[in-house]
Parts: sequence; C-alpha cells; structure tokens
Amino acid sequence: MKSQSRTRKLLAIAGSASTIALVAVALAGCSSTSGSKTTTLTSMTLAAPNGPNSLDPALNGNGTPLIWYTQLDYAPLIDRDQNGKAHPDLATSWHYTSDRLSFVIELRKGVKFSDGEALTADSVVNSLEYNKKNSTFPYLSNVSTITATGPLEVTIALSTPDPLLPYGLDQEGQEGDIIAPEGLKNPKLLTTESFGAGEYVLDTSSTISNSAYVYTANPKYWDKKSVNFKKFTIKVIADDNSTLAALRSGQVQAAQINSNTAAAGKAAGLTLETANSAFVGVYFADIEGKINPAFANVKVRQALNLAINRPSVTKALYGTTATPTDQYAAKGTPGYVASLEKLYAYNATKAKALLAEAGYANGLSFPLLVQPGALNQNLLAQSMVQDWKAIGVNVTLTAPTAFSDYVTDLESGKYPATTYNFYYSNHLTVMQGQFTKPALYNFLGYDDSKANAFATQERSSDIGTAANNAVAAKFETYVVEQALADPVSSADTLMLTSKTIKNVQFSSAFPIPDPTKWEPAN
Amino acid sequence: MLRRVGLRVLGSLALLIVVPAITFLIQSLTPSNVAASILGLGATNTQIAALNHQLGLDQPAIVRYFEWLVGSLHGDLGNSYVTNQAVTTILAPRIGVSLSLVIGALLVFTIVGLLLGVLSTNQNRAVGRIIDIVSSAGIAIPNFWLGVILIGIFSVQLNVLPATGYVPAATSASLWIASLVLPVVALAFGGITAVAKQTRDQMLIALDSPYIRSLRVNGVPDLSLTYRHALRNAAGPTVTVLGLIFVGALSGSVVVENIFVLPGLGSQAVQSATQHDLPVIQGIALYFTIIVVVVNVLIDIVIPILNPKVRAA
Repeated sequence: MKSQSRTRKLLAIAGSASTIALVAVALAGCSSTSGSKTTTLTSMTLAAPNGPNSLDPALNGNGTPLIWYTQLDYAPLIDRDQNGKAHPDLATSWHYTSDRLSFVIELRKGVKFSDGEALTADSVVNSLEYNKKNSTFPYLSNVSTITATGPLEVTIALSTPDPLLPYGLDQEGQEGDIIAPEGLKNPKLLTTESFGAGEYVLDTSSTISNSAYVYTANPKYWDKKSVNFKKFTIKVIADDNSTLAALRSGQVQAAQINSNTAAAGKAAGLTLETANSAFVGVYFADIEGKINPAFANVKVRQALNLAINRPSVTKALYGTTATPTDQYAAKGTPGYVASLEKLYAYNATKAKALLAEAGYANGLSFPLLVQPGALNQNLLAQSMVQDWKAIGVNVTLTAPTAFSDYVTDLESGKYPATTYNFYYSNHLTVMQGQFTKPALYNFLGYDDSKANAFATQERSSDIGTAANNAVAAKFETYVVEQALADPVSSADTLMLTSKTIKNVQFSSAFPIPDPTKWEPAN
Repeated sequence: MLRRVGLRVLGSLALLIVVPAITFLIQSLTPSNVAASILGLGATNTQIAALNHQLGLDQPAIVRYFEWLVGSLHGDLGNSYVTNQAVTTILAPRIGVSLSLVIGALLVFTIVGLLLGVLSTNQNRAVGRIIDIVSSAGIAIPNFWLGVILIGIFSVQLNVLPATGYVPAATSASLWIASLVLPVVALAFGGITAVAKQTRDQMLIALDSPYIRSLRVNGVPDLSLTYRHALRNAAGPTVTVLGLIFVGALSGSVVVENIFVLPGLGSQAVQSATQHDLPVIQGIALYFTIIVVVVNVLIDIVIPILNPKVRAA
C-alpha cells in the first residue's frame, strides 16, 4: 500500500509539472497569437487554399489565389481599380493609333526594379516578348512586333485590331507584369526569386514553398507611400476549417472562402466582402459532334439547358451567395440581356419534346468531366445529372481530385463536356475564352464561324463604348440562343477579413481582390 | 547483438532502394501530363512539348529513374518539376517540422501511455475498465477530427495556443513548443491509448507470473516489483508496438500537418502528389523510409537491452 501511495505521489508530481509547463507554453503562445489584434497592422497574412503554379509571372495562371503570388512583387503597366477603371502604373499613358493597328505606351520615369536596375523601354520590350512566348494567356496573340520607339516609349504593332491590350497589360491580364533583365537572362530563377518592380519583394529565406510565401516592402518601389505593409505573407491553408480558425484566432487577416464557411465567419464577427464574380455551369466542347453527334444539334443543347432547374440548384448549392443565370455576362454589365434570362426557364416537358424533335426521343448518354476546385462543381454536376436524368439523358461523371489530372482528362478526347467556372471580365474576354477558335475552354477546337465573326466585330471598337456594347449584346444573344454552353449560377467571390484591415473590395467589373490595395484599418 | 543490428541495417539499405523504386513505378504508371498541368488550359502543344523536353519528361521512364538513382547516390535528388527548386532545398526546412511532430508524438504516447498502463494495473478494476474504454475510444477517434476540436477549444475559444503554423525552435523555444502542443496531442492521442492498453495487458501477464509471485512472497516492495521487474518484462512487446505506432503516426502526420498548416513533409507530399511532381514525391518517400529504418534499428537495439532473454538468443 505504501508503495502504491508513492507511485500516486510520483504521478501527481509529474502531472503537476506537465500542467505547469503546458500553462507556461500556452501563455507564450497566447502572447503571439493575440498580438495581431491590438496595434496597427504592419504585417499582413492572407490565407490561400493552394500554392502558386509558378512564381514566374508568365506561367502562374490566372484567377485567385494564383494571381496573388505574382501580383505582390510584379507591377503591371496598367492598374485597374475595383470598379474596372484603368489607371497609370508603370505606364503613364497609352493609346491606339488611328488605324488601331498600333498601341503606344509611355513609361514612367525613374522606376527601378527590386534589384536596383532602371526600367527602360528596352527592358519592357524584352519582358513583353518573354510573356508573348511563354505565357498561356491570349492577350498578346495578335501582336506582330514590340519595339522601343523612345527611351521610355514602347510601340506594340498588331496584326489585327484588338481592344483587349489594356486589359492584357493590367494586373489581371498579367502580360504587363514587367520582369527585370536579370530575371530574363536566366528564366529558371524566375521560379524562385523576385525580379519585378512591384510593391513587395519575395523574401526567399523566409519562404517555404507550398506553405508560406513571405514578401517584404520593396525599398526600390517608385511610390513607397502606397505600400501599406512592411511584410505580406501568403499562407497556404488547404483546409476550410483551419482557414476559419486561423482567421478567428487572428493569425490570418484575410481569406477567400466558400459559401459553406461564409456564414460561420460572419457569425464569428469577421467582415464578409462579396461581389458577383463568376458563372458556373457546363461547357459543351463537342459542338461539332466529334465525340457525340448529339451535341452538334442545337435542339439537344437547348433541351439540356431547359432541363436544369436553375433556381432550385442555385439555392441548394450556394444559398444566398449566387443567383440563377443562363448568361455569360454579369447582370448589369455590357453584354447582359435581361430578356434572355427566361429563355431556358425550367421546363422538362419542352426539353423532352426538343430531344424527340432532334431524333433522341429515347434519350442519350454522355460522359461529363467535373472540374475540381471552386464553387462546389462536384455537387453542381450531381444536381444537373439528376435533372437531365428526368428527361432521359444519362450522364456518367468523372471527377478528378487534382487540377493536373483534370487537364490530362480534358486532353484525352473522351469528354464532350466539362463543368467549369469563368470569372467575369469585359465581355470580349469572356467570349474569347469560350466560343471562338482558339479559346481557353475550346479544348476540342470547334470552329463556329458566326461566333468568330461576332468576336471580330466586337474587337473593332473600344471596350465600353456604345458600339462595342451593342455588339456584345448581339454576341451574347447568339451564344445563349445557340446554347453553346449551359450556365447555371452566377456566384459571388467571398472574402472574409478581420477588422484590422480595410479596402478589400472588388466588383463584377473587376472581380479580383487586389492585395496591394488593402490597408491597415487604423 | 551487434551482428543482429548490422544485419538489420544491411536489410534496411535494400528498403532504401526498393521503396523509391516502387514510388517511381506507381507515379510513372499514373496517367498525367505534367507540362500540360503546369501550363494550364491555355497552353499550346508547342509550349507543352517544350516544357516536357525541358523537364526531361520526353525520356523513357527507365532512363529517368536511373538518372535519379545515380543523382541520389551523390546527394542530388533532382529539381521540382513545378517550382524548379532543388528537392533537397524544398525538403530541408520541412524535415525538422515533421521530426519535431512525430518525435514529440512518440515521446508523448510513450511516456503517457506507459504511465497510464502501469497506473491502471495498480488501481482497482474500475479504473482499469475506464482506461480500457478510453483506450478503445482513443483508437476510434480520428486525429483530423480531434485536431479540429482542439483548435476550436484552445485556439478559437480560449485563444491560448496557435490554430495553425510552426515556429522554428531557433526563433523561439517557447513559441516552437506552443506551435507543436495541439498537433502533437492530436497525433499522439490514438498512440497513447494503444500504448496504455498494450502496457496494461503485458503488465497484468507479468504481475501474474510465478517469478513475480515468488518475489512478492520474499518481501520485495510493490514499487520495485512494478517498475524494476514487471515493467521491464512487459516493455519488450510494448516497444515493438511503439515501432508500429510510430510508423502509423508518420502517415497520420500527413493529415495533422494539413489541419494545423505545418510546413512538414506530409503537407508537401499531398501538394506534390496532386501536381504529379515526381522528384519531390521521390525525395519524400526516401526521407520517410530513412526515418522508418532508423526507428526500427533503434527498436532492435532497445529490445535486447530491456529483455536479457532476447539478448541471449
């Protein structure tokens, strides 16, 4: 009995010591975790669900979060504000020549890259050439030559008029992210180091790839007073619950989240910023019927659109953070046609009749590829499959978990259609991303001469002009009536932020939250 | 004993060849187009072909494997397809994180598990049953769920420990420990209960054996009976189980690192696997194999020290 008592005493002592140690550690941890809540924020942390494709701005892909990794350290030629209006950045002015076949850029004087080298017309030419060759974006595809026409003047010659250059050269288009000559000398270094002229510079010693990307204020930046944080970290947090916990405990000040997390974050006192930012639905790539001849028939495509109960699917999947749509332009933006909204109002009977008229009275089958990632596309696909089943269309789903596998599947030539989400931008960019040849999503390479003609017509005038808007509406009407795809919901981008930062705003006109514009709240 | 350990080390060297080879084979058989996935949807065939050539992916798999093997013998594990960084550079800051996590968990489930196991044999049956029930629950509770619960209580509600992230020991020892407390508990919990149950069962067998009864009759104190004689005898099977639990903890660390956003080998493994970044996956497989081999060799050394019967054999 005596020895048992001694055992218990020993355990009690060990237990007490462990408790004291744990409390001490907890207090130490407490001082670090709560510190960010009190003083003016000098160090900002943004959570992102995945790391970059590459730190080379030409290879990093588009959309958030990818764009953030190069937006911080590479300044664009043109800056676009949250309402979509263009402002000078590395370029002070720009204009098309009267024949619309040249685009002249005047550069800012006195700008230096983060390595101290001066920005010149030659360095801009070389950087644009590099982006033209290596970037997978289409913005420079109509460029024939890029020439330094003065010490601080660059002229881009076009093979055909293209009003999208000012969009390609802004922070979303990324073709105007100018790379220093030292980086262009050895492009392999672009994947690990900063060679930009942006607000921040990558701190390679503190960065751990795919975990935390640490940027510090660039001492060579041309407008130091506009740099709002001494340190800016992008922390990769794949798990939604961990993201929310990091926000709530003050470790992270901002994060892009999904609709499931939005309500919990708002209830916890975080600020929710939203803007109608992208549409989600199914893209029909097999318009020429190479894989399944049914897709070449407009009545089949229209039937597939009519069979979807958009209000029901949208409410079930996205709650109040999305609205049903059958269009590609955001409500209230150029190209949007209000009367088209009811064109594919849910009508299974009419859908069946259209299938019968097209020669598919007994229904049809096809495989659908599900894009991994944003906006609950897996659930969206399952909902659509149920609606299609009701009209006799049997769809088998393939849902790769990684985007790399998705790209591989897309190129396999087995799939006539895929789910997708597409960020809103100017109307021409959205159309040229889908319905022209070539187009980002046109992975089977179909050639719709009318769509191509509309694109040519829309390219012949400046974006936002009355003439351009009129063509945009006609183009939109054509692709919706032809049911070239099956959009279902117009969804919001959702950002949760702590009260310690402000100016995290964006809009349908420019749905990319720009971290270089965020500021400490006090 | 030296011969036994020597043979074990030699056998383990074969593992260092076989495991990365199997990893390479599996990844090579998985349909993927690394260049296309890196370049994204808008890439042209020319761009994809150029990147495949640049990455050496236009070479036959067998050539690529032997290049990797020869390089690894010289300490060069190649470069990441995605970031172009040297694999050793990518993994260098992560190995310390993973080792801190799994060694921390090893210490916790060993010490706490042994104490609970011994304590339960010294107490009445009710306490033993409670520990049995808790042990079963501990094995059944998934560490990712426990991790979320711990974050909810200690980080979000009480705000006493960080929800995510890792602070290196060189930066601050106290913050390093603070960043590891919750992940270590989440990872070790199942191990604690398994060790406690194993220890209790072995202790009950040992305490019921004739030699313990003889010692008790001869007046040897209970404390000495428990710790000097019974525990030492029970420790052999428990240490063997510790090795298995450690390997389980190593795979569990992949999930725990993701929940707590620790920049360790596990979280990198998940990211690299989704990107088909074969050189990094190979490097991680090699590092994990080395860790398992070292732990197994250590166990082979410890068991004969604890149990003279094994030493004699």
